[in-house]
Order: sequence, then C-alpha cells, then structure tokens
Amino acid sequence: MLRLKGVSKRFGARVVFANVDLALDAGEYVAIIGESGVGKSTLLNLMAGLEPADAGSILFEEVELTRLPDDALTLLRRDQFGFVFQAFHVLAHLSLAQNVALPLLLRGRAPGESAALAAAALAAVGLTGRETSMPRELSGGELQRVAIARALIGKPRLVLADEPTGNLDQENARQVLALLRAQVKQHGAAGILVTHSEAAAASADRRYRLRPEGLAPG
Amino acid sequence: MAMHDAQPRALALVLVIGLAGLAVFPIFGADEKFYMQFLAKVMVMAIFAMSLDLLIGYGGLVSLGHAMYFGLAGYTLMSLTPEYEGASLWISLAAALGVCALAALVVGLLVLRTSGIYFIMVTLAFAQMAYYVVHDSKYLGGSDGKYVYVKPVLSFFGWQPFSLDKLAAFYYVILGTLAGVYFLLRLLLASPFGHVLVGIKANEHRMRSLGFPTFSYKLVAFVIAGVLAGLAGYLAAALDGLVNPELLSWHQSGQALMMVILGGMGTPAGPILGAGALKLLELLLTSWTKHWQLLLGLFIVLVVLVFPNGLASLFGKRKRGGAEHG
Ligand SMILES: Nc1ncnc2c1ncn2[C@@H]1O[C@H](COP(=O)(O)OP(=O)(O)OP(=O)(O)O)[C@@H](O)[C@H]1O
Ligand SMILES: [Mg+2]
Repeated sequence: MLRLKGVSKRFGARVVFANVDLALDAGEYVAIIGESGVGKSTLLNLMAGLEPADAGSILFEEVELTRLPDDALTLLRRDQFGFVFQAFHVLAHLSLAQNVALPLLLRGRAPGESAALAAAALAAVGLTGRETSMPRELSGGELQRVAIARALIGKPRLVLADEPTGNLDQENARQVLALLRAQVKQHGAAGILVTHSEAAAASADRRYRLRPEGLAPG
Repeated sequence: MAMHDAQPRALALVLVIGLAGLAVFPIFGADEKFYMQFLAKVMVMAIFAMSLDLLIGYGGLVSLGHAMYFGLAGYTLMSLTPEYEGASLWISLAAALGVCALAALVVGLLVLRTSGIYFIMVTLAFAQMAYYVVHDSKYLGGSDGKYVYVKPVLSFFGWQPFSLDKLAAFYYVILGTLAGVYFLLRLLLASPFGHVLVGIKANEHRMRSLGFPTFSYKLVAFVIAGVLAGLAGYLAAALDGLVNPELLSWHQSGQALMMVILGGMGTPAGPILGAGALKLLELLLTSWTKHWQLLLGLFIVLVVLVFPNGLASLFGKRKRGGAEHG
C-alpha cells in the first residue's frame, strides 16, 4: 500500500537522508529505528505529505503523493492516515471525548454519533467512562492512550507513530506499545512505528534502520 | 461542546455588572452628553479589540494592520451618505461589512502564508498602503477626512423605530451590538470551529496531520475578524460624524493591540476590560497632565509585568486557551 523509491530530503544544503526505499503492505506493522536527528520524524512527514520530498517517489495506494496538490493531501490525511506523536498532542482545553472525536469533525457526523464513537474508542484503549475528563487529570500513559484512540477513530488505512513512548517510563511504554499494535491490527490497518529504542521496535513485525544513506532491514 | 472553564465566575459577574451599569447610565446621566459619548466610544473600541483578539488570542495571528478594516467601513459609510439625508442603515452597513469581508479575504489569502514576524510586517504593510490611498485621495477628503453629515437611518419597511440622532438611542444600539458581538464570539469559540482554531494556535502541525485544512480555518477567522472590526468602524464613523485617515493608522491598530494585551488575550471579556481601562485612564490622565502618554505607557508596562495574562486574570485564574499537554 505504501511504496517509497529513492526518496531524499535536505534542509538547505544539508542532506538529511537519500535513497530511502520502503515497501509496506496492508496490515503490516513495521518499525523504523534510527539515532536522534537522523530524520525519522522528517521521513514520517514526507510519507504523510506534510513536507515535500526533494527526490524520489512516494506511492500510497498507487497514488503519487509527491505530485498531489495540498487539498488532496489534506483529504488523504483526514481519511486514510492516523497519527500518534511523542508529545501527546492532546488539546488541553478539550475533554477526552472531544479530543478523540476531532478527526470526525470534518466528516459531517451527527454529534451523537461522534460522541458514541469517541466513547467506544476510549473504551477500546481502557479509558471507559472517562469521556468528560480533561487531559490535565491524566497520566502520561493515559494521555498516549487517548492519542491512540484519536489516531484510530477515523478508521485509517495507515497509522504513523512517531516515538509514541518517548515520554513514558518502561512499564507504561510496554503497555502503550502493546495497545498500539493491538489496535492497529484490530482495525486491519498498516502501521509504521518510528523510534530510537530497540526495545520499542521489537513490538513490530519487521524492523528497518534509517541512516543518512538509506533505509535497510535490521 | 462547551469550552471548559473558559471564563471564571468572577469575570462573568464583573461583566454582567458592567453591562447593567452601561445599560442604566443614560437613565441617570441623561444630561451627561459628554460621558455618554465617551462610553459609546469605549464600547466601539471594545468591539474593535474583541475582533482583534479573535486573531491574536485564538488564532495566534498577531495582526498590526487591523485598523484597515475599521477605517474602510467608516469610509464606506461616508461615501454612501448623501449630503442632506442619512444613508439607509441596512444598505450602508451591508456595504461596509461587505467591503471589509472582501478586503480581509484578499489580504488574508496573501498574508496567511506567512507567520510570526513576517505576518506582523505584512499586515502592517497592507494597512499602511490603505492608509496612504485614503490620505492621498482628494475624493476621500485627504488628510483632513470628511464629514458624515447625517447619521444612518434605521428603518424596517419604512417604519423608523427611533433616530440615531438621539445620542441615547445610538448609545443603546452600540451597547446591544457590543453584547451581540460578545455572545457571537463566545458561541463561535465554543463551536467545533473554535476548537480547531485554538488547536491551530497551539500546534498547527498537529492539526494538519489530523487532516484539517488549517489555511482555510485561519482565512475564515481572518475574514470574521475583519468584518467585526468593520462593524466597529462603521459605528465609530456614524457616532463621530466624521472619518479621517487616522482610523486606518497603525496607531489605531496599536491601540486595539494594547487593549487586547492589557485586558487579556484569549478571553472574550479581556478586550472589553482592556478598552475600558485604557480609555478611562486616558481620560483621567489627559485632564490631569499633558504628559499623559508617558504615564499611560508606564501603567501598561506595570500591568503587563504584574498581570502577564491581562486584567481579566484579576478575576480568577483560567487555563489559557491553547495550552497543551506534552
Ligand atoms: N524544518 C526544518 N528545517 C531545517 N532543518 C530541519 C527541519 N526539520 C528537521 N530538521 C533537521 O533535520 C534533521 C532530522 O530531523 P528529525 O526531526 O527528522 O530527526 P529525528 O530522527 O526525528 O530526531 P529525534 O529522534 O530527535 O526525534 C535534524 O538535524 C533536524 O535539525
Ligand atoms: Mg523525531
């Protein structure tokens, strides 16, 4: 479903990485490991069309992302992608249910339906009955569960997780990783987990290592 | 979907008392034309400041050219007012707001691609351009401006409930508009649109990755803010009975900015407090010393140092819109 061929990215004169190849099929869950600063987040941004690539081709479901106009990319992100970030990126002024329902806002769902879906999504990540709680009442691990619920509520084809356990202690990290994997698999989505931690990467089906000269299995 | 603790109780109470005070003032102060005119002007500035806060406090868009819409609306009313009779309020108001919406749309399409200091500079540049067009245009009265000889006429299918020539009547129209704009903004900010706007201010990248067309959201906010600023400018021109290039000047934009900062950004009531405080202080200081601007400056510096979240924070703490976890 996702094919990267010879993808390169530089900022100014500085080449972050070149010649990245990747083939990901529906339902696969892979990890990309790399040192800090090697360009993991940048690579995810490229895959989601949040930043342009300098060279190479990025095919998502046979569509060439690098040639897609901005509004088509916006639609694609809304309908096909789910994101989980390192910093939880949960909006502080919205309740948990409102946060989780954010991706549904633009899809013209009835408020009641959105609320029901949000409650179900929260229950699926172990936060049953916490719809009206505010983010500040939650622990880091719980916040990341909210982020996972939000990433999956729109039934994305591809989930992109950027260091989702970077701010968590070991035990919480283990639980969140297991939950993320389970949720991705349960939704029949594909997933890419980006991390610098070997332990986190072990939760994926396959592992790749990102280096400036490209992506290699390992 | 209500904003959670967007406004503390004490602030709401102060607001209600303030509105009630404003509402009864003409009854007791019927002979105090000067103060009625003064309060009407304060309320107009409060509407203007609220419109700017929609951009700054919620969208994170610091515009230094917001007076452009204020002035454009005033000049539209002037242009549509014949010399010996009043313009129709509905037609002239619709035209003024339409002009502002169009101007904000065009400017927004160009400036919203920029951010930070560039955004500030480009909004300022557009307002300065408009300022000089007005300033150098003979038809628009040049640097002296022009009179709006007769106040606009409010009529419903020929029936005129009251005349805006009566200061008290105009005063209540402005008070009603202020309250209307306030509640409109509260509704807007509690709506999904408001949630997205605050989300963009906190972290635009996140909103983009969730699939939100953030540019369109910012553009809509920019146009709404321009139209509301136009509403204030229209009222100002009608109230004062004249327009001049100062309405579009960067002083004017800066004054609204000061009101927002002084009162507290990101709170619908903050700009109202800010407008009241600034204008009241100006009134007191000008009657007391000719060095009033120095003292006013000192006061603002003090307030910002002591209450970094503005005067609104005097009435209870609130979580700033846009704070986030992580
Ligand atoms: N917008 C940008 N402009 C210029 N340089 C950038 C930009 N974004 C990232 N970089 C640089 O590109 C390199 C890769 O950044 P990136 O954030 O992708 O790394 P990362 O692998 O995700 O690191 P970490 O593990 O710390 O999150 C870094 O050197 C960073 O400084
Ligand atoms: Mg990163």
